[in-house]
Amino acid sequence: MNNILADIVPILIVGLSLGSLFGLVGLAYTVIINATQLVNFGQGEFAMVAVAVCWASLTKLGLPLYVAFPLAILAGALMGYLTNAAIVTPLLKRDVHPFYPILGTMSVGTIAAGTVGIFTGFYWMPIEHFFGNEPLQLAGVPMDSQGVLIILATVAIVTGYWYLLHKTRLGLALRATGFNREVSLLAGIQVSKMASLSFVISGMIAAVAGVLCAPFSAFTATDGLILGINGFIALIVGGWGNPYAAVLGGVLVGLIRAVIVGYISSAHAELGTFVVLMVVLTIKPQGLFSGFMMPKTMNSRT
Amino acid sequence: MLRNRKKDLLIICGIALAAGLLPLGVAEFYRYMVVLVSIYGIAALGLNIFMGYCGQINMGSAGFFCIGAYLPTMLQVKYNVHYLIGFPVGVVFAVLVAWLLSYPLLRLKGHAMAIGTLSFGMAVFLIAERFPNLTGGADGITVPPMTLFGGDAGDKVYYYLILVCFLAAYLICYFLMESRIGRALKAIRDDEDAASALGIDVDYYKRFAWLINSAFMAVAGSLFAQQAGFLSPSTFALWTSISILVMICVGGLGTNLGAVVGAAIMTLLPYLLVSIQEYIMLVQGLILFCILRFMPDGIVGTLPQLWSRLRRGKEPAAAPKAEAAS
Repeated sequence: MNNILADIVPILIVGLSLGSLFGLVGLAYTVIINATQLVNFGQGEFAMVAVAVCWASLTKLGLPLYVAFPLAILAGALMGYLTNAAIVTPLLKRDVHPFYPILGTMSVGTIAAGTVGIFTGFYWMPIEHFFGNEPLQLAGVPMDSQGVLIILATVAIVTGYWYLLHKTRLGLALRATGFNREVSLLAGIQVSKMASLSFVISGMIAAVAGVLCAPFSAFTATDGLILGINGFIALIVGGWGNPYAAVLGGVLVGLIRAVIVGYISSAHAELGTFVVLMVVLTIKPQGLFSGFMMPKTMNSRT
Repeated sequence: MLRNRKKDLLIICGIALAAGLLPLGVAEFYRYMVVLVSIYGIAALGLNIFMGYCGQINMGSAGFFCIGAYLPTMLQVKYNVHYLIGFPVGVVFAVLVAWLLSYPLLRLKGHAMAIGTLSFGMAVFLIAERFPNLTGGADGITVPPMTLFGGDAGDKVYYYLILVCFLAAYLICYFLMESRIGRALKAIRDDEDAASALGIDVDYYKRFAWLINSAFMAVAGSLFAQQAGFLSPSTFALWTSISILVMICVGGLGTNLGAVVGAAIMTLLPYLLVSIQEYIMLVQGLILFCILRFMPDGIVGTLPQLWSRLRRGKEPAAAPKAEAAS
């Protein structure tokens, strides 16, 4: 009995940090969904590009981490801005199949992955642990310092985003844009700027998630997609269009995954994730935490 | 209308005849190209019915492709079932799976449907990879060659089998989409509520399109297994679903010809770029980007417009400008 308890604490901590990571990516999706009702299928590649920039400035240019990390976030923001300006806005102006803007974001992601792949030869882009490889000892339980960092960063980012969304005029404008585009236009909100801003914020969040994740498991140019899928699963399990639900969904998925890895086999972890997703889609398609901290109007699924 | 159909059928017959006579005259490489384009053409035609005509989203089509490829192969390897029996069994099984999945998946809309189908595709891929005693695992499995009358069937029999399947698939799509069913599907794509108000059984037709999609995918998968001679789970990862989706978008959503044209372009492209393997991903991304950005109707949807614009000369050049402004 004691053994099981001793086992479960590290497993839960790993699950929590993994889940925070998925939740962060889910949050990045939700930022765009809130402002434009679009899913950005290039989200994982935003993170991947940030990792590539961070890796290149650390190893090729020899810059210290406190310069490389902001550079990576800048790269994520730039990716977000470019995606919106190059394909999403032009496609939204035309009357096309509603799936086309999403495919457009996917094409930008593919181009990014292909470009980074050419420069790195599709090899690993490893980044070292930020605070060394030594595990932290907290009340006798060993913890990965990077995992703790991810959890703290997630809490900080979610709090910051909550503050932006609910306590500032800008946040009000962002929420209004997501709620009703036409009415927001009438109220004098610059809707296209809000859409652009949401892509930039989303790119920055994805960049943070990617760079924090990279020491855990090294990225290759095509691995952004996997992080993106996990983040999207987090968002669907949590709740559509609700940033807090997306993070909660991510934590849930991460915990389930860690428990499967810890007690059954690491080979079945991904399969377990998809089974969870299918079950949630079948019994509660609007997401498990869809009403959490949000008024009903914000998480309408279109 | 009728005259148009006659012309279309004549063209189809002509192409079929040309393809049928092909093995007599040209190098094996070109025959191989025709085979590849036909396989992916069948897959693209199937996906096009569900996405182009019915307006739904399927990002897990590789799952059915995988079932169609693995089932006949495993039946042959483990129970010595002949390929020509395993082939229909695989297709029927894929349709059965699709029918069961249609209950949870077809209720969903938009993005939820995208992620639902995507998770199905990933689940099939993971099953193929992580259960070695069922499928041969990540190492892959060698497909035994097809036998006929006690001997090796040979390339030519296989070539004609593929050709017949492709022609049948194209004709099915062609006649289906001209019929009542095709019109119902298009109505659902344009406006689901309006279609339902007109008395179209939306659920029934959606399920119909979904089953056709899965059946075509499974047929393409079975043919692919014989062509490749070796199955590895990584062939059926997410990227296959996406590349078939890219094919129908490049050719033009909602046109049968577009699906085939897209399949031809995206399949032959890697062979044109064979010297620069690393650039393929970038080039595919760029093609998708340019098609979406500059001709969202796809190649088949845009070229006739361009052609007629050129033929009319400068005079109606104002029309496209007005179009761009609106």
